[in-house]
Amino acid sequence: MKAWIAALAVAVALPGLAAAQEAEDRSGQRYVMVVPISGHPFWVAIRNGAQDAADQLGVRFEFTGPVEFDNRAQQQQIEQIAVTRPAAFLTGAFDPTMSDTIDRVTEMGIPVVTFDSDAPDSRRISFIGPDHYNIGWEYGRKMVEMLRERGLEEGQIGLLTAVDQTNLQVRIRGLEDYLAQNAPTFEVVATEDNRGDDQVTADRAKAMMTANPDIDGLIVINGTGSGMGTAINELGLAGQVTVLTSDVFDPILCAILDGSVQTTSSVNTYLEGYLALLFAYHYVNGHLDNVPGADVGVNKLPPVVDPGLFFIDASNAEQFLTGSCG
Amino acid sequence: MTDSSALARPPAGLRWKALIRQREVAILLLILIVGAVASVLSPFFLTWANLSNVLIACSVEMIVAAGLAIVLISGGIDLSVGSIMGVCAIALAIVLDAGAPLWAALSVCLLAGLAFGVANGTLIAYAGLNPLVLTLATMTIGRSVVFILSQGYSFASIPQGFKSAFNATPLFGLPNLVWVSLGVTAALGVLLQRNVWFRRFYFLGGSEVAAIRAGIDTRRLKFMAYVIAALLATLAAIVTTARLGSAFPNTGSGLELRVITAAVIGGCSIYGGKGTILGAALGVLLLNLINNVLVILSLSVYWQGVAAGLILILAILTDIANRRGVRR
Repeated sequence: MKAWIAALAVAVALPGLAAAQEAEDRSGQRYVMVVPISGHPFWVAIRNGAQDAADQLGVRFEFTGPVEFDNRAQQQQIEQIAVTRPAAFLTGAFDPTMSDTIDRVTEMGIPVVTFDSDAPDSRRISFIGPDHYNIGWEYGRKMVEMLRERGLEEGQIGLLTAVDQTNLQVRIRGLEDYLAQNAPTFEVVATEDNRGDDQVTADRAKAMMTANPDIDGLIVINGTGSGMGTAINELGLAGQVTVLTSDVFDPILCAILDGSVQTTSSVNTYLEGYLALLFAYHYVNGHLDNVPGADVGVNKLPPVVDPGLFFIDASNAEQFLTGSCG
Repeated sequence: MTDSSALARPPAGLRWKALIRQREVAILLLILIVGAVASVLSPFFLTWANLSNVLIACSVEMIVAAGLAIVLISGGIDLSVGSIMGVCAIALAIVLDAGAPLWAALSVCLLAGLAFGVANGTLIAYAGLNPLVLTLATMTIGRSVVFILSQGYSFASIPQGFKSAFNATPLFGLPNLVWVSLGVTAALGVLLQRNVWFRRFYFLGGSEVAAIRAGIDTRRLKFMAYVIAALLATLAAIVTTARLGSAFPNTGSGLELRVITAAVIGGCSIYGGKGTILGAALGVLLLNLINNVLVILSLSVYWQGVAAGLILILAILTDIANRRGVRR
């Protein structure tokens, strides 16, 4: 909460601080966001947040990244784009080796703000994103709460995740720790890789439920929850298995409204993109050079800003729909 | 006195050997072995619910594999089928999202797929571009088109009637999308074996020079191979969108490599002239069966890649053993 309040204070104060210094034309400044799978709808809100910040500040914003999930390709793109001297990079660190890339471009004089997934050991100037361990912990708490509402005091839980994403592994650790410490009668009985693909989620979830017919709850750790909705509908298990998914896209919201998914988690990802670009802008343009101790290494920006987590269910899903459910 | 039937047919032992050396039979045997082992290890494998799950999981890839098999047999390759699927799925969903009737959305979807097929076919058959490089380029262009059209958004406004048409289960508890997939695979399989025009793809892939000398319009045939592959990718996009009730910017992403792998395992040669639709379909079935078995057996996700890889190596080894047997 403290980090959240600090971020809000900085976000509110910085534009005012900057206003006096806007005489210079900065329309040529390029802020480049590089993500590991550019085609996924997860980035839409983050990209929109960064674009809005760029429009307000009068700078250029570019969004790029490999089409399929590829950490290495993401890092290569960052290093290739660095040669063109952008003002700053905004990126998510979904692989531990991202720290080396961040340090290399920082040495070239290009600062990096991380969002959504952090590289705390790197020289990034700030991280705007959730604590993934805490997200996993909250998944555990929410799932147990929903299963207890069904009258269950013990139960089996299945997980669908993308195994090559470090942040998702951290979420699973938080989830398992919550269960071990607070609800040991609920256990994770199966974990499957969905490769970030809804169709794979549907097929593997069905196989998982066939092999584990006593599963009471399913958690999709990444944004492929509508594939889980498909699996539940094809097996005719809507309402019999409790489903918790991640992220907010229309197909997931429609799955909540048709009853195949009960809830989905949402991080305020728009704010991740908005604050990432805002922080980078003020850092690059020297607006924070007067921070006491900045010249001897004191952080000019909050090291970590958590944009917060909330759950969406059938009672409020319609408010988040951008289109319709057909 | 000589028994004429004994002269006409080889001894039973040799007939069996010849049968087993057929790629499709070898893959079918491997499928049966994997299935038998899985049914011993798990009581859940040999249930109708699980087997129908496998068929549903195969359906989209089988449709795409049928088109790719024709391209491979003709001596070409098409890396753009996954992107074509993505473009068609997003085009279909966007038109529906705009409130247009289903026929209009399907027409746009079909035209989008046809445009890619015609572009691929024209540039490869008539301009002489290398199919690997050209379809790599159209794959990239297609995925970019997906992002341009969708702006990264996914779409869920798919009419219930359209979803129901493919997901209804009229026979044996299998949804219509499985029957569509099996029907397309069977029809193209028969055509490729029996129809004179379709048989020409084998001549083309076996030796283009010989095909030209035989009076075959090889350019037109090559062109048609890519058009057929694109139209089947379009059908796969329609089936996927109906099944998931949504279209995503990553629809079909990475599908081309999985399907090419399946087709090659099923006996299609990347040098052309060899393979069948049945073999490609069995290759898809084997790959999906392996995925299913590994999940059913609750094998750790970290070990699944090792297990799947070993079974694929086994599939390749059986092919090599068969070929050595044929040479002897």
